[in-house]
Amino acid sequence: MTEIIRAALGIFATLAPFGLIPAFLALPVNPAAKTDGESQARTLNYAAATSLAVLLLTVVVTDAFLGLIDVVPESFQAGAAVIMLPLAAQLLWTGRSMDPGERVTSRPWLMPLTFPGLVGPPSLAAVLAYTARYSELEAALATVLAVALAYAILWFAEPLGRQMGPLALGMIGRLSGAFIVVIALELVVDGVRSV
Amino acid sequence: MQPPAWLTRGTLLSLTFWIVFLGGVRFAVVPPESCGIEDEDQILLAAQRSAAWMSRNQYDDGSYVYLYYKDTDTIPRDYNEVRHAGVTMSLYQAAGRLGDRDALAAADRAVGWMEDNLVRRHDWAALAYGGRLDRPPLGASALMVISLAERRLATADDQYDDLMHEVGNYMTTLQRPDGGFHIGWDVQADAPDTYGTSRYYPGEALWALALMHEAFPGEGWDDHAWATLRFITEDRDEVEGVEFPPLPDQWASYGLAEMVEWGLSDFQIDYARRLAGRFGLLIRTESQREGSAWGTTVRGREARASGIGTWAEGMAGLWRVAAQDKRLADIKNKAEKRLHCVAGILAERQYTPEEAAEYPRPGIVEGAWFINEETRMDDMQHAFSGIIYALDALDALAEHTVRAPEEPIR
Repeated sequence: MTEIIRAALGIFATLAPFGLIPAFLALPVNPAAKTDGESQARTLNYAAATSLAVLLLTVVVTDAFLGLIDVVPESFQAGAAVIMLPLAAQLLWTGRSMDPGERVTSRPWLMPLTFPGLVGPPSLAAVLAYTARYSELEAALATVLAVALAYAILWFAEPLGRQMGPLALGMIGRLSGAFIVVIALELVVDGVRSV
Repeated sequence: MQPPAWLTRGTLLSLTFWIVFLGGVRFAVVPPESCGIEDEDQILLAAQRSAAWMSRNQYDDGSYVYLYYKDTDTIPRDYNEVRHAGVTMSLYQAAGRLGDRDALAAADRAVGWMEDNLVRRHDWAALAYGGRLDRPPLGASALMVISLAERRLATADDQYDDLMHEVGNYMTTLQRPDGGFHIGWDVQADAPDTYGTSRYYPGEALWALALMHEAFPGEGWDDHAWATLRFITEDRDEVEGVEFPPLPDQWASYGLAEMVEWGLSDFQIDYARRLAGRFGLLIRTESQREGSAWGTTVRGREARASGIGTWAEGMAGLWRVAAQDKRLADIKNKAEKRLHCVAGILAERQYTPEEAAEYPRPGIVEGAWFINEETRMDDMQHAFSGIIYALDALDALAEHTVRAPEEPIR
C-alpha cells in the first residue's frame, strides 16, 4: 500500500494539475456543448480518459522500453528525475505548467490539455520509473489514483480559480514545482542506494 | 502543402527542446549498460584461466609475479605481503571450489613463503615482508588466516591449526576496546602502533575471526568477531572519514556472509542492505562504461580488475546473506542480476590465449587483466574470487564442481 501511495504521489506531482488550471480555464468553449460547464466537463473527461489510457499503456511497456534502451530500473530513476526538472523549473518560475495563451487545436482536450499538459515527458518518465521500481499492478493502481486526483482538481478548476485568485493559484503552482523537486530527489537517492 | 494546424512555432520549439533535452539525458545520465559475456560457461572459463595465471606465475620460493607491463615486457621488483596472502586465499578457493590441484600445490608453496616471513613475539606470529618487518601489517596476517582456513575447508587437513592460532592471536592482540584495530605492532617499542589506521584491515580481520570461530568453535573468536562487526557497522565510516558511506568493503561482506547464521541484528542487516546498494551502484556504473567509448566518455575510464573483482566479491557475500536472512530477501534477485553482469564484464575484459599469443610472454598475459598496460597479481585474485562466488549465486557451479564439499581434495 505504501508503494502505491508513494508512486501515486510521484505521478500526481508530474501531472501538476494546479499548474494547469489557468490554461484549462482559458480553453475555448466547445460549440457542441450547451453551457461553458458542459464544455469544460466534456474536455476534461476526454483528456483524463486519454491520459489514463496512455499512462497505463506506458506501465505495460516499461520493461520492454528499458530493455530497448539497455538501462536497469535503478539507473533509469536518475534519468527520470532529470526529465522532471524542466517542469519543476517552469512551475517554480511561473506557477504554471502551461501558458494560458498556448495555441489550441480543434481538439483542445487532446492538444494541449492531454499532450503535453497531462502527458508529457515528466509524467511518462515518472510512470516508467515507478513501474520499474515497484510492480506493474502497483504502478497501474498508482496511475489511476494520480489521474483521478488530477481529474478531481481540474473538475473544480473554476470554483478553485475563482475562490483562490491568481496569486494563491500561482503560489500553489510554485509549491507543485517544489514538490516535483522533492520527488525527483527521492528518485535519485533511491536509485543511488538501490542494489 | 499547409502544415497541420497543431504544428505551430511554439509546438516546434517545445518538441525541439524535448528532443535535445532527452538526448542529453540519454547521453549524460542514463547511457546504455552492457554486461559483457552472458554465457556462464564462458564466465567460468575466465575464472579457471585466472586461477591458472596465479598457479603458473609463481617463483620457486612461493612468491608470485607481482607486476607485469606487457608493452615493455618488464616485471618490476616490487612485492606486497598482504596481496601475497590474498592471492594464496584465492588459490585455495580454486582448490576447494573447482578441485584445482595445481592451485592447491601453488598455494601450499605460497604458504611456505609466508612461514619464511613470519615475525614471532609473545604468543603471536605475524606476516611481514621487506620494509614492514618492524610493523607487521594486520591485513597480511588476517588474509593469511583466511588462506589457511580456506585450505582447511578444501582439504580437511589440520596441519596448520597451530599456525592459524598463532596468527589469529596477532589479530586479537591488536584489537582495540572499541572493536577496531591497531594497524600493526611496533616491534621496537614492543607495543601496538597507535598512529596508523586502515580502512580495510578491520574487514579482513572480521572475516578471519569469523572463520577462526567456524574452525575452532568455543574458543572465543566469535566475541572478537562480534566486536569487530559492531565497529565496522557503527563506527568505521566515521572514524576513517569515509565521504560516501558505507565503505565498499568486500571483506565486511564476506564476514557478514559467514556470520549470518549466527544471527545478525536489524542494524547489521540494514548495513548489509546499504552495502549492497553501494556495490550495486558501482557495478551499474561500470556496466555503463563497458564496451563503448560513449560510456567511458561520460563515466570515466574503466576500473581495474582488482576493483571490479572486489565489487563482485562484496555483492556475492551479501547475496549469501540475502539467501539466508528473510530481512534481505527482497534484494536477492537484484543481487543475482548484478553478479551476472559484473562477472560477464570481467570475463569480457580478460586476455584470452589468442590475444596473449601476440606478446613476448604469453604465460603472463593469458588469463590476466590489464589497465594502462599493467597487470598486478591482485587483479587476478579479486577477479577470480569475484567470479567464482558470483557463479555460486547463478547456480552455474553445480554442474562443474568436480567434488562434493564433504570430499576433501586430498
